[in-house]
Amino acid sequence: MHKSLKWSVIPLTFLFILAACNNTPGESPAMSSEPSASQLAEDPSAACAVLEGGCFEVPAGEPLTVASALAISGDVAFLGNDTNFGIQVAQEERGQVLGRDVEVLHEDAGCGDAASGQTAAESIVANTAILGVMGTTCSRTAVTAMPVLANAGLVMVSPSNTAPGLTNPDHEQYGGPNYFRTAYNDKVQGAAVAKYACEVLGVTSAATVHDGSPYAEQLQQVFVDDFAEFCGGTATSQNAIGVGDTDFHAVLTTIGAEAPDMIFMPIFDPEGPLMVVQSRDVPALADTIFFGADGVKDAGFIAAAGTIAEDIGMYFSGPDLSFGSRYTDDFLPALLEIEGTTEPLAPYHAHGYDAYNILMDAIVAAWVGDDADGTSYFAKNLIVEHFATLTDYDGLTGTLTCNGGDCGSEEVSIAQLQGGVYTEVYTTRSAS
Amino acid sequence: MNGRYLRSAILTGLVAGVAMIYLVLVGIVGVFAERNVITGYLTLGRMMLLIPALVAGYRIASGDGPFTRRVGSAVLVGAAAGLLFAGFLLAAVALSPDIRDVFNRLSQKTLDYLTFTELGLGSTAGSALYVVLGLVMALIGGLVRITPPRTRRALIGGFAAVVLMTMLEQFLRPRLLDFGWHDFENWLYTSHGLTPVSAAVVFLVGSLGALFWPDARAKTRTQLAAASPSTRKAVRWAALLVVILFVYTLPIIAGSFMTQVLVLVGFYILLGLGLNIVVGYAGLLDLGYVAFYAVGAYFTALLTSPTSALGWGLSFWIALPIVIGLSAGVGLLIGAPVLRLRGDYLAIVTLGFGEIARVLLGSDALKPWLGGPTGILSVPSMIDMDPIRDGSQYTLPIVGEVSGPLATYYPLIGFCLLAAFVAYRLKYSRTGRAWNAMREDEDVAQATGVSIVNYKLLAFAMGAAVGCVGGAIYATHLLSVVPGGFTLIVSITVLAVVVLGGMGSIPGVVVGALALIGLPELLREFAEYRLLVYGAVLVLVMILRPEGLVPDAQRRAELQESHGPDPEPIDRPRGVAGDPLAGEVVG
Amino acid sequence: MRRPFRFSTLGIIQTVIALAIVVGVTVSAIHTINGGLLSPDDWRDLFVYGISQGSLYALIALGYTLVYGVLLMINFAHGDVYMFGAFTGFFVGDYLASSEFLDTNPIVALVVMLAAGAVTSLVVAVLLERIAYRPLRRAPRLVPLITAIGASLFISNTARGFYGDGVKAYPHFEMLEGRIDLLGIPVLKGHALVIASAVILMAVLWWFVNRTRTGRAMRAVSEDKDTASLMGIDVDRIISITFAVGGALAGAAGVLYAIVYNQVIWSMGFIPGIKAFTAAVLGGIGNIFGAMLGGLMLGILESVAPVLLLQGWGVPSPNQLRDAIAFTVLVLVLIFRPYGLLGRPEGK
Repeated sequence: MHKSLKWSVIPLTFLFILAACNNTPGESPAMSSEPSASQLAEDPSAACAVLEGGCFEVPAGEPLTVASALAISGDVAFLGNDTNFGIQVAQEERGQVLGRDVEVLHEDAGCGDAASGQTAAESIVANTAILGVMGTTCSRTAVTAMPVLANAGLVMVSPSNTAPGLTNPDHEQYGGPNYFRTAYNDKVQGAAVAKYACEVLGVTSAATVHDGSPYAEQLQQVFVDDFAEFCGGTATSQNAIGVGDTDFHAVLTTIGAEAPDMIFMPIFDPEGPLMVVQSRDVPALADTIFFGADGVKDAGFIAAAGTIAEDIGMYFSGPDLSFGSRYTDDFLPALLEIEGTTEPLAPYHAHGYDAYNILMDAIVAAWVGDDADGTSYFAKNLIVEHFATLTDYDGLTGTLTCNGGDCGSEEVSIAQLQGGVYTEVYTTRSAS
Repeated sequence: MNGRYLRSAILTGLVAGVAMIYLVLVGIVGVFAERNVITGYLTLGRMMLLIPALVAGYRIASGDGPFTRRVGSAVLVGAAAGLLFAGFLLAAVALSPDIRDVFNRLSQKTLDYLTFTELGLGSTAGSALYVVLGLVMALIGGLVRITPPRTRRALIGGFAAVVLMTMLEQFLRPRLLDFGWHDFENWLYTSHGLTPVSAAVVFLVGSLGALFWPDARAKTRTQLAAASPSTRKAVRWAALLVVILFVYTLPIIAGSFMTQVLVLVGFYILLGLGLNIVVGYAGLLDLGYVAFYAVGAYFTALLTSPTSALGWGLSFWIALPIVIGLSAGVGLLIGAPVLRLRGDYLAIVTLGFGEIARVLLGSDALKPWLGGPTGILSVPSMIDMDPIRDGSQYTLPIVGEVSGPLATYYPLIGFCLLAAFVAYRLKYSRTGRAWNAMREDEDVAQATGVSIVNYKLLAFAMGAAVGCVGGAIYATHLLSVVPGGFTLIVSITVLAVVVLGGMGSIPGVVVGALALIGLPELLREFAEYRLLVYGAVLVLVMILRPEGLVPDAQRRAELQESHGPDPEPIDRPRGVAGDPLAGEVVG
Repeated sequence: MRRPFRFSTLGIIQTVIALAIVVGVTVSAIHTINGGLLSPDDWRDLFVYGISQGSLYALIALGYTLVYGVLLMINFAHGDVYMFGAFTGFFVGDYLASSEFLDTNPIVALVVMLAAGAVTSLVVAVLLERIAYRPLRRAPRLVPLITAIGASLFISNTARGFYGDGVKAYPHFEMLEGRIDLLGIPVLKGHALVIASAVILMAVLWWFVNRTRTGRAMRAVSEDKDTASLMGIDVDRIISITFAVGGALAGAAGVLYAIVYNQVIWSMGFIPGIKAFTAAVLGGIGNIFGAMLGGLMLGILESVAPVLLLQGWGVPSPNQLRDAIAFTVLVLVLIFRPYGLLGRPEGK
């Protein structure tokens, strides 16, 4: 799996060292990228001494090392693994950077327990070779990981945190100036669902269900607020279930008694499919529109509740994955080969791909130069700055511009299951 | 070689073969297929795959019989294991790729790896090779078993050293680089594995250590025993001083990540000491200890975070006594209704309290006060009142300025020592003896004038107070509390720490926490297999050492007088299992 | 076992608590029903859903209680034994579905799946006992508990390794579509199957334990292992049989559970395992009827109580609190009946 790559890349390092021995510093690596002004510094270590924030140093012959800090164990491991696979595709496709191999260390940042995010961050900080971090999967772990990483001058770019608070300086969850994400902000998704519900579906009342995760809770709240604002829609009730529950008849019956036009349920597998299947036992919900979010927009849901979801014409919101031919022709086949599946496991692989590429661009941009021993210097602050000033980056997930930490494409897609595949019925891209 | 030995050997071989198949099916071999142990020669996946054959050969050769029979058995074991595995491999290749619908991990890549495709062998030849490999491994295992004890110890020590150095690579390498030992690091590891030369040196060092360490220790012991009482006392104090100095300077040597791990271990030491009072001393089986941990953390967050519902923003040190008082009160509240319950009924009720706490903390119903899924953020750190996110900084002699996990480490160690001291004093006090009596037989204790109600409540309150201190420090360490961290798994882990270490034993709690929290964190590379290994180790250790890793001396004495160590009197004779594995797995 | 607290303040407190509960529950229930959100039919349905969920708990609890009765040991890994059976049932069912046998002979297919699940779980349970528990027969009581927890983690993560970490959809039974009329109450056919299976299996188990020679030996072992052994009973064999029967029950329950909920996943054993344990204790652990009663009570509580007690007060998301309510009731039941509803004091 994802681990294998990191080892297999390394033997190539030695070939490279042989090849690179003849190069004078600063010549060949610059070809691959736009040269930054500071690159021409005669003595990079002296330049770094005066640079605010200092530099990362990578000795000659060592690979460029970055880390991923995603949830790769526990219940939501499929989310983190999927993102890691996307990173792996980018890594294989991009190959060497600045004439060096790139090594990605895969840390497990967990999801539910905030301490695991902190521990993963400490583990990353302890390894001084690491230049940047891609993570985390869950916003709880981002909140505890971020102070540790920022303290060490590292950036973290998340391919899957969507909680609005993380990029809002007034919110307690704020990740700070070193935090970025290629995933979109849930403000966008909640608004898109509300807009679709108001304008296309024409519903006037809705119930929501969340599972006690900050993601689901915040997303349904955004939806409820926007639903009221856009068309005066009423939320008949905001419900919650427990992760690990299997019987949802009670909550469905209560919702059914309120007879809402629509149910918005941004929850995950296996609770999501169970809920959809059991909703068929509650006659009052026969005509209610079911609306899931990216947490259930995956292969597992299709396997467990596909036919029923298709029968009832269930909708799914999620990141707009119609990224064009580059996604379908080049990226997706490579991803599916790694995953060994026919459908991607979860929706955030493409965001992982972009996170990796932007991080590599930032490292290239922050390259101060090599000294006589072949040690490369990378200005810490320039890596942050590259992210902060990123504009109109042509990414796999769209044209990306970083705006106060939010770099993700703001395009949301709404799909229905048709013939066993999620088929797009609406995008904010086409609507605007 | 008569039939009995033949049967036993074949059976052992088949068990080893099944273990090999298991390792492949569960995916651990495939995941570590390209992780180097000795770069260019041995990968971790292959090493793990062959270990069952090695162990089986070792075990089967442990009898007293003649040399030829022992070696013969080992060869037979290896052949049986190899044959079974080869058969499995052939079947898997024949059924591929459909077999992947059932066994997810049997990808073509893994099968290629297993059948040595890189050597240009066909699947049949590659599979057949395992008969030879299994045979050789088992033979090596058998021969190691047959060598004289000292040689055997040296060989096993060397092998263990190589495995250890491989496993710790991800942790050791950054440390070495941090110390500036680039050349040593380069010499030791290449492409994440040892080089053949460094592996040989590590093996040598390991075997020399294993060879001489026990002797040296025994010699020191005898010398110490022969020394005069004053010398002994001096040595003991000196040893204590060294230990204190070691614990004090450990964070600088170990680095911030290791300190973070030690902090996590420290939380469980604190929790373990608290639970030890409830379970180990008083014999009340508590499966919901996480409730106190959570209550401590949430009370602290409520009192100290300026953005909590209370918004008081108290200092940690002012809040702590309040939190301890409140939590002890919660302990009494939980303890009071369950006074009449015994054994497993008590276990399920306490488990219920833990679950009630978990559900309520993250619930929408209590969201206005406890923050729901988001929890309570902006908890200030222990030292620095300013609720900034970088954590606190302060200066200590020798160590210098500390921040991050180090800033938590020192107060936490202080609280652990305090808790250990209290636990130690309680154990040998009147209260401790009353608990002892109560644990052994409630009715008898009651008859001899021990107030069961008071002592049970005291145990719950003490346990609650210690647990909540752990929670309080946890909140300030994370600078936030979120509901996701307080699950049943925490209760179970704390209980495992206590039992694995040895019930009622204070050093046992430390060892248990180091083994159950520290080791898995150091083996982070295993990520998705950590719980699997954890479960297996839990079972194995309990079978091999039912009395715990560091059994309590008093308990051991009681055991030898054939008094049961059970928290509950039950209607069966008790005693320590001897060598329970003998003749079990091997049949 | 009442003697320590006769006429104590505790007795008074208990009476006060009892009165408070009765008043609180009545007021809350009236409040909610007056709110009129749910129709009488809705309440009836919630009750029926509760019964079927409870029957599932009871099915698992039967095995729990059986093992506990003989070994006095909480087998934490029981839920994972059940999960393994459900997985085998899935693969067999999937094969039958792809060969269309399932659609043509659904009843035979169901029986085959149940048998496959039961046999797998039986094997897992017997292996578990042999490897993890038997060496600890005479160890302190907490030790097998920790081993059981370790075994639980090991078995569930093994399934994850073997079969992957995603959800797998169970084959669909056409014949279990829709509702059936039971005594004038419409019940989902899947639920009816579960309820019927629970009752039948409970009866069979009762007959086995009380009326067969092996069952008598089991009870003898449960009373006193050493005496039983002196009477010529092979204690190890009886314990193996106990685990085999408990495992087979778990496997069948796993397949039924997966059919009703339409899916299997490696982590599915843990929570139902805890719930079944709760049910067994609620009813009086070691008692077969108690397991059934406890299971049903737990199921109904989970389904009805959150809405009934909390909706009226405007508590947000009452269903999120179902576990809290269920465990509160458990605590209260045990305060008044320390050995469960039908239990008797240990060793008496």
